[in-house]
Amino acid sequence: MKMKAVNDLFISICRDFSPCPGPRYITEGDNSGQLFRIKHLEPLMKEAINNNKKLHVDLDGTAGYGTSFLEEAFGGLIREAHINYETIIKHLQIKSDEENYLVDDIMAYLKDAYNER
Amino acid sequence: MNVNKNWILLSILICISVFAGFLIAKMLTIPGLTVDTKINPLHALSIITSIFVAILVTIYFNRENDKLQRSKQLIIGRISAAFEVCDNLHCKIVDGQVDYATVVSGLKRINIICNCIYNLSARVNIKISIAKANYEAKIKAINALMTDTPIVGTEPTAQEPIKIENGIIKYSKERISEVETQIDQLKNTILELQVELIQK
Repeated sequence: MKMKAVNDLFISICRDFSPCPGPRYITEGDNSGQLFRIKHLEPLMKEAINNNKKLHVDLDGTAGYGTSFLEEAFGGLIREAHINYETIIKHLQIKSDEENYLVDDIMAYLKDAYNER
Repeated sequence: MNVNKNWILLSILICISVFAGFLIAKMLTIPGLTVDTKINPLHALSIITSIFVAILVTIYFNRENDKLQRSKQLIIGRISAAFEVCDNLHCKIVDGQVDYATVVSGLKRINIICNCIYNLSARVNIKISIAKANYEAKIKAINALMTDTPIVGTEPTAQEPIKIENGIIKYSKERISEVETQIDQLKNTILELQVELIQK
């Protein structure tokens, strides 16, 4: 079991954003991946990087995720927020007990966004 | 209560067997066959012990088999629930438009139910030959087909296969057909799981 440092950063999508995550873009509907990235993920990611902390993202508890929500939220960190891929990998920790394959999916979205640059 | 009933039945059965043996020994006269009316107490004890052990073993295995059958019924019930959610999604896609939340929550439910089926089966030592990754890959494929909209700035296609407005997803005819194929495949996998459990 990995130890979590006391001063690490944590975010639960269900608790801190919405129990019903929506589509990719704000223009497509409520609680989009784009909104989550702009409002929560990007600022927290930058804070974690600047303070050399880890950002723990908890995916559990929501109604479910569409592919585009996760791709836009996480892939967008590289594509739109221009954060370095290696830096994200170093500072990001994702937890998904309910749908554990989502962790690998998000890693693949990050990799794809990095390769497409 | 059930255990007491079993013991009463067992006692009655032993009494009837001993009495029947006694009667047969008294009444049956077959030419060339002599029945010794004196019974060696050690032999009698050995016979009674054998009968007792045989009955105990039968009761034990029946109980274990009963437990397994009940667990299987519960698991099969969960599989039916997954099939129902799948069927519901299938009906909705035929209309060509569906609520975003309905799709993602439906797919998550199928995934959670399937996970539960694998966990419960492992707990009661039922081995499932269909790999967990098999249905997970199908759920992922359906999720991508049903929810993944193109990234802004990518080359637009002649007809967008998927469009989302106000949380409502609209699909092209080609996309509906692709999703239907994938949902059919997932339903087949779920049915295979059900058949495998019934046959175990």
